[in-house]
Amino acid sequence: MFGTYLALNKLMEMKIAIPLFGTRISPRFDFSQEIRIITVEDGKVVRKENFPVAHLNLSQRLDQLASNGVSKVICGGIDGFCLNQLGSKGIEVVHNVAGEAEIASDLFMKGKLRTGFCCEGRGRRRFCVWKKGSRGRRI
Amino acid sequence: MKGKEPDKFFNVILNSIADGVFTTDNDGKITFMNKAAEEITGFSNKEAIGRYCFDIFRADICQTRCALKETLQTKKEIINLNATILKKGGQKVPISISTAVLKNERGQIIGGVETFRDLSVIEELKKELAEKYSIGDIISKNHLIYDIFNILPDVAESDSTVLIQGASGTGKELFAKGIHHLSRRKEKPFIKVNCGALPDTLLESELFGYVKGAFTDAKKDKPGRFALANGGTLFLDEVGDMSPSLQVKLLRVLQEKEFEPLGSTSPRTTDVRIIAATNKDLLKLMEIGKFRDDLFYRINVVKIELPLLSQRKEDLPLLIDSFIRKFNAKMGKRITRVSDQALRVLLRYDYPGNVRELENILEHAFVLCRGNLIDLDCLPKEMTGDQTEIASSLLTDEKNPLDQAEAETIRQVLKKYGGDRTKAANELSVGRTTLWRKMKKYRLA
Repeated sequence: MFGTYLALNKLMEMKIAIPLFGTRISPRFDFSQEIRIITVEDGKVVRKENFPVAHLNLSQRLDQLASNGVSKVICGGIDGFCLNQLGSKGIEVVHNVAGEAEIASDLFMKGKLRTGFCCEGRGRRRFCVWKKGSRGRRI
Repeated sequence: MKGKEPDKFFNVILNSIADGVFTTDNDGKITFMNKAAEEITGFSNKEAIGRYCFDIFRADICQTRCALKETLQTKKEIINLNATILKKGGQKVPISISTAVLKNERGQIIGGVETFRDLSVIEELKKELAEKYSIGDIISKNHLIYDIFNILPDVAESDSTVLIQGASGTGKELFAKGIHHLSRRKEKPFIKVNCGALPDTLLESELFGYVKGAFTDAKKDKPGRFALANGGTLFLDEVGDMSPSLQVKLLRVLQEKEFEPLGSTSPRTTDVRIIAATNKDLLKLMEIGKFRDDLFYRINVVKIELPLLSQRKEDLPLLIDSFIRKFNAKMGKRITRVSDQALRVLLRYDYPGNVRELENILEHAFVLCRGNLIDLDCLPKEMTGDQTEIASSLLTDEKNPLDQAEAETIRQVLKKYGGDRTKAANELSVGRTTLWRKMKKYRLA
């Protein structure tokens, strides 16, 4: 019984990685200086950790994500090769996302983040724009 | 209204040029972007304006060395900085960036301007040009090698035996492979035997094979290299080290296209093209009776003499670049070039071990190099040896690498036109008097 609970709990755990540039999403996946790994359990964020990755080359970055058990990546620009590599490791990627990492992860948790979104915060209003037909204002 | 007129003109002008241009405010947010910038980045004007330049530009240097930020801080222009950006669609584009500050009429800095040029085509062309110098893996623009390049396809097409003569490390095997790949035998095997590395009896069984029961441990038939290379090419390296008894057997294969495996009673036929190589002077060996003259005349049908690396120093930059690319890929490093000082040492060195030695020197440098530049301290100690001696010799010797290269070019062009200075001057796009002056300077007159 306890074993089943643990297994279920494990199933509910998810790790999201966001390459960072300061507090923003790094414009390039392969040249980010830092990466944030967010652990989500039962739909709630339980841990946020930042790791320096400036010294790592591309294959080391990819290995690090896979060995940490990351299953989702939210990032800015990424080339086809990296996208394929992540896909082959079973990692889902929401790319071409720009703006504040915090807002992007919030939107992702609500299931509202899509590829190509721009997540900016202005005053109390937070909005996410870019694509035609998406909710929010166009810049 | 009057103030708006020039603005309109500027927009038309900026939109009509092929270089990408965008301007930012002091925070780095885009305030203007021209048509070419839209095309190069893949983002439209509407998407870009008001957003941070790094989110649109997505260059590899954005997070470590932002050119615009540097210009705004130092107020100094940056010209032709190379970078790679990521287009909206995810393709990488090599570009060259120039930046400057924007000031208002009161002289206050109101932002920066960045212009960038798409280098994709130039990079492609560079690749094409670099390829031009190579047949397969051979890299050179030296006239001696060019002469060989010119005859190589004809040599390859024929089935004649080739003798490649050249010092150790000059690339004898590379040329042999080149000949094989250009020939109609390219689909068949290329088999290499080093005649100097094996004792006589072993070499004989290696070359011709043996049959079951030929000697105590011969429990089954073993095909020799001649049988393995059937239909293809057999490369006999260090042929000068072969013993006289084996030379006779080799001569028979060359003459009658047949051989007998050890212990066999019946001869076997073979269709093999022989390429022999040696770093020794076979004529001298012939004189002292160590090399059979009939074999020499058999293998010396087409002779290719490879120059020493010290005879083709103009190839050094090409070779260095090629090895840097090779080792970057091999060792997963991102070394871009050799520092000027180190290059000077590399250009002055004599390379008794030829291209192989250069390769080893660069591998040594790659192991020690931590940054993205191979510096003097990464080179082997015996090359850099006494730094003061090198420094003083550089000061006293007038012939710096550039002068040496110039002298070599002039020498080649003069040779090409048989010493005709008018034609040589035309080819070099200099006046006759300039050529004469330079010839005197380099003592070529």
